[in-house]
Amino acid sequence: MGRVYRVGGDAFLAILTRVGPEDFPRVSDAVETVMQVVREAGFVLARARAGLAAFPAEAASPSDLVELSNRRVPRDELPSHDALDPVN
Amino acid sequence: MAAASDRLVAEVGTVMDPLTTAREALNVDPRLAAALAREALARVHDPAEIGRALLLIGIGEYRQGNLAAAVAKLDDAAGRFASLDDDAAQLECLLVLGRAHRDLGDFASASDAIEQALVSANRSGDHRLEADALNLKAGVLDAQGEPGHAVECLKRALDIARDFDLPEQQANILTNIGTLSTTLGDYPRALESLKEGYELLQAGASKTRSRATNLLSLGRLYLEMGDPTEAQALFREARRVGLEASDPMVEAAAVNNLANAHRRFEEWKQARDLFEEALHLARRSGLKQFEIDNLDGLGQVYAALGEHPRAAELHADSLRSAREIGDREAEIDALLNLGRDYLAMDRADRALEVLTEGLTLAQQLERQRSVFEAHELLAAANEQVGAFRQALSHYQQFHRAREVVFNEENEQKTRRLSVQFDLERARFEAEEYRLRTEMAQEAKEEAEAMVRSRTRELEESQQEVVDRLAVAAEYRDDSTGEHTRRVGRNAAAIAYVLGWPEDELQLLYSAARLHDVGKIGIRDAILLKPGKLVAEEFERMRIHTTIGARILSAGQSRLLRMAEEIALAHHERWDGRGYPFGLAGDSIPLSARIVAVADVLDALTHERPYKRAWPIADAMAEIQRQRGHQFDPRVVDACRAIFGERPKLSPLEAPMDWQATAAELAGLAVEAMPEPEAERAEAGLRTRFEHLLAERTQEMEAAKREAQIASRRMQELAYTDPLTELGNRRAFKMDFEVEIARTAQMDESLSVLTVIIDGLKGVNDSDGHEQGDSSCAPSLVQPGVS
Repeated sequence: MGRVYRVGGDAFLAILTRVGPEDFPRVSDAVETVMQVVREAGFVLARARAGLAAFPAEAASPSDLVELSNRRVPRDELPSHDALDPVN
Repeated sequence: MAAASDRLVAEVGTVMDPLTTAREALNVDPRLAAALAREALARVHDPAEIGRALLLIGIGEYRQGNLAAAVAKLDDAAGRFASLDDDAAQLECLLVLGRAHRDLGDFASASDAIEQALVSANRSGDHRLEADALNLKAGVLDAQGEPGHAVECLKRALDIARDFDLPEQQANILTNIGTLSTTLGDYPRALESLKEGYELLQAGASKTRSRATNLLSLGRLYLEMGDPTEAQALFREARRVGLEASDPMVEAAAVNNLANAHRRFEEWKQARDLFEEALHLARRSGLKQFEIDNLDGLGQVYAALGEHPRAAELHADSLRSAREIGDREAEIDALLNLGRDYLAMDRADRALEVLTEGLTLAQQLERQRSVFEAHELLAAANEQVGAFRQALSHYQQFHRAREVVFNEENEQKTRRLSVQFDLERARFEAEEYRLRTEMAQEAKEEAEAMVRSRTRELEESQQEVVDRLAVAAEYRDDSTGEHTRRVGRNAAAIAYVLGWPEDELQLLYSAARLHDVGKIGIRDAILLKPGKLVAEEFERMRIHTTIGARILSAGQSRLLRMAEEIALAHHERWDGRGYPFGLAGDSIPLSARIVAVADVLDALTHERPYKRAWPIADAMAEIQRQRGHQFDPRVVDACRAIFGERPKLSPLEAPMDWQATAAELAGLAVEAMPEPEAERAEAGLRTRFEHLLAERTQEMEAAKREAQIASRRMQELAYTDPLTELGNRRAFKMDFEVEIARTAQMDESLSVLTVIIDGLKGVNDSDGHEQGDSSCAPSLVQPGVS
């Protein structure tokens, strides 16, 4: 469904082509599956916080799209500046 | 002085447990320690205490260099500890005992003590002392002339020290590996071990002795490598370390090394002053072994300065001290030196006396080198008193004994050189590979220039190995390597007439010297046989060509490739009736055709076991007769131009090195060769040049391809996160732009997922980054997102 990039220390971005808002539940499941694997590998404390946004339904420009995806990451702990501002 | 220390013994003894005090005193003043322990021995009754006292006396005597006294006490102590089942104490005792026996030159008893110590260390699981014992065993093996086994021992000791994390011992063992490798001539390994030891010692708080020994070993290595400035700096540093720690033994050792360095470079005055100083230090601290060493060195310096009576006095002193502590090796040295002094003073009667004694002792202890030296000196002494029959007999024995030693040493040396040769080659290849990789990052032309200049440098560093290998190969029938040098010079001279360029001449000069390197593989019985060889022996002799080629095979440098072709083909004949392959005419490499003539010319003009030396005119006539049969006519003509009617160079002696040879060649006025020959020579050169050009073009092509591959790889790296091998931010930006444009055009949807993973940092912090790295990489790449 797409490619993964590491854009900062603990921040990753994925480009998901042909994925719109209707596919979001499927994506969330996928992220949870990954984290299951990570935890089973011994990182019991590892936890993923994810944000997801779709173009053109939710954002009109590329930079808005990334920003919205970033903003949707739950903020109980502030993500690094890298993750907030991946493209500029 | 004695009274003062007695008083100190009495005072200290009343305040503290005398044995504890004695142990503490060991490192500072062994004489005082022994005295304290002796005092205690008179008072204690408990068997364990008696054992301890004896042990401490033994160690104290040993540290003062009183070896025989030390052995007596330590033997006694070891027996007592054995019956008390005190493994730890027995172990300590056995190790010092092993050292004392070693220093006395009694290697059999030393080995016994060490083997017992190893058993005991194994049983008590004391790894520190086990490594110690192995280290010591290596020392004894080395002294017995088995450096190979010694290195194996040290490797085992090093493994133990590493496994049980004993950094200081590790450093000491590395120092010893370095020292041993230096004597073996394996300088790269020596340097590597000593540097590693040095770093370990710098990192931790280490003992003065360990640091000083390492520095002294490094210094001796630099001395061997011909860098006296660096060596002296290291010796001075060791001396500073000794001074700071007020350790007189270290200081004395450092000054002694400095003195020896000056003696080696024949700076007699400095050497004398330093030996005097070291002697003073050794005497002040009661270090007998050092005292003897310095007396010996000082005596030799005075002998070199022509002050023979003074030298004799010093050597007599050294003899007395050696006898006092029972160091028989030192006794032999002193006797022989004394003999030399008497000979120089024209006192042959006294010389005969001491030399006969020295010879007997050397024979008893089987010190071959001293045996042949003694015979040589005795021959001279007998000659001085007119006893010619005895002189002749000693002279004959001198020759026989020396041959035995040289053959043994030669074999060892050849083995070592072959190893070193392989090493040089491996290093050359590694370096070349590294430079080629660098090429992609730096400008290509620049790196290429560097490859060329480094190639030249490495060829030069190989040069030394080549020289020594050539000498080693010729050692058995030509102990000075003069034959190979003359063949190298004569071959270069012929090539000069044939119009070879300067750098090719230099290559040929060196490569030709290795033409007979394969003789290493031929038995003495055949190689040195005075008469004619029978058919079977001749068959054996022939294979020295293929052995030589094998030794030199797979070389990357031009030098080695040329040496290989010469070694293989220098017995081929122009008419195809030579060996090993029966090649004919131009299919024999030109270098080998040249060396064939140069080699025969030299063999004819010099004496061999089976023939006299021919006059140059006769030799040239013989070579002329073989023109077109055994030899390439063109090469014979070139040879005649130099060594013909009016020889331009002396065929009997060649200069020592290439520089001198080049100067000789530059002054060579050679008449023009006959017209057709010159033309053919030019044609040959042209072909050769074109061949070189093609080779060079191929190399450039290959370099270009490698550079392209490397630059593609660099591009990949620029877009990849090195840790996870996922795309990085730059890759995201590029792909994202493309995908957005495509999505808009195709009227599709596209989503961006941001994921922050918490908890991986924690892994990094608690388990170290390696763990964090390896686990986060794969699980994130595979996931269901793709």
